[in-house]
Amino acid sequence: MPVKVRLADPLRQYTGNRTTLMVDSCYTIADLIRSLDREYPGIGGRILDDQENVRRFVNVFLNGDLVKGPPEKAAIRGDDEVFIIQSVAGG
Amino acid sequence: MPGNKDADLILVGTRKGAFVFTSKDGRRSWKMHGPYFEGTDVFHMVHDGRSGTTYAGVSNYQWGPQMMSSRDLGETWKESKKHPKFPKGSGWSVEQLWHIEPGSERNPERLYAGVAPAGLFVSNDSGDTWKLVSGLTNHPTRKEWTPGAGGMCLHSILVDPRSPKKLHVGISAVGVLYSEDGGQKWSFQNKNVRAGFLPNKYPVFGQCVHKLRRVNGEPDTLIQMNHCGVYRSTDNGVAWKEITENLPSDFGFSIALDHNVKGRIYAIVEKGGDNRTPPKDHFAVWIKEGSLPWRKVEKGFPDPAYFGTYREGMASDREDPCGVYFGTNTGLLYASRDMGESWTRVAEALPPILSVTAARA
Repeated sequence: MPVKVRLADPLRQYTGNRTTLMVDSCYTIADLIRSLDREYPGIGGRILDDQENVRRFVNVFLNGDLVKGPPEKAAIRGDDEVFIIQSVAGG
Repeated sequence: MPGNKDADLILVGTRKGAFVFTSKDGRRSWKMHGPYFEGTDVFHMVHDGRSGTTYAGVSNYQWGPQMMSSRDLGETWKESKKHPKFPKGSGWSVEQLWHIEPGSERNPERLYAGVAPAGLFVSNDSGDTWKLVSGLTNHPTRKEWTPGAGGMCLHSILVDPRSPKKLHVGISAVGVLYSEDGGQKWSFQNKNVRAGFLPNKYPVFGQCVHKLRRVNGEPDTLIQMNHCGVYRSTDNGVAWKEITENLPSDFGFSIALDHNVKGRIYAIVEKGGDNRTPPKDHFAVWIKEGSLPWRKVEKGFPDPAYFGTYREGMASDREDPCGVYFGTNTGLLYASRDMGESWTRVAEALPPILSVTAARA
């Protein structure tokens, strides 16, 4: 079963303006982001830093819950919904 | 921007995007183009005359840094296939792209990039892919390096016109480093440079160089604006002599050199590190030629004034007479087409200006 991915607007530049995608064959958030990057080159580097951690001001939600810790350890399965968005800015 | 061949350019990086100003009437009037990368920090832009490509270091604090290039002066932009990136396991991630430096004429596709945290990257394919110069990152003293207030940024890169393997870099607050072998081994070049904020005022490293430049046509002469004064070296950085002299402050960021008159320096100073406004609230561009004292040019600037400039905020062009340009942290952009003797306000409502460079398309 594919995972549904919803992306923040600034990432649309990589996906041909699409903000909702279906991604197959992923077992972790890291898998998912690698898969996105294969399909949409460059998008992975916007979400993950050089050490492949989620960027400090980017949030990944899995079924509405904020993913904390390394994306390699965040398991996902079919029918999950992943939301990738920048963290709140401003005071 | 079709039709802008043979134009003079001012490239402006700001806190909220990048702008290109073009002049087709001998630098008398300027037309603004942009913003590009709207809403995003652009720490540096450069137009590489070797290829006609414009490069921009775009540093989005949320989505990370992107090295971008344009073959049409900003109308369209292409993202690098492989951005400057520290290796996995190093523990570092590139936070900002601080400086882009074209390589020598002998290596027309080579570029360097300086980043924070202090790192030097090289591209040998006109910016498509970037590789870490690991000799600097792995310097044996690296664990002892400390950042300045702007982070530990590698902001100055000099490629020796006599030998592309000879490189200088400036890092805040580490100082000047020099390599003779293309970046494999590095040695410090901070002799006689003061670090007034440390218990040992003249350490081997730990100086806060703010900007490093080389005099055109006199390759052994280097000039640096430092947290603690202005310095000149006439032996390619081996030793430095302080030339702060009659400047009203020893603290500043912006410095530029005349392209034609060797030893003519343009500088902007501020009250100090904890109050970055003009000395006595009077803004001036200070000019020095050779052994003559600094003299100020203040006509045409707001008075009193409470703005400052950043380390990439001043530039000179290659025309004769030399044009000089600076941008302020309040979004004012000024240009001089007569070697800094008189100034025109080119723009007055830009976002805070991080960098200014000049070129000819």
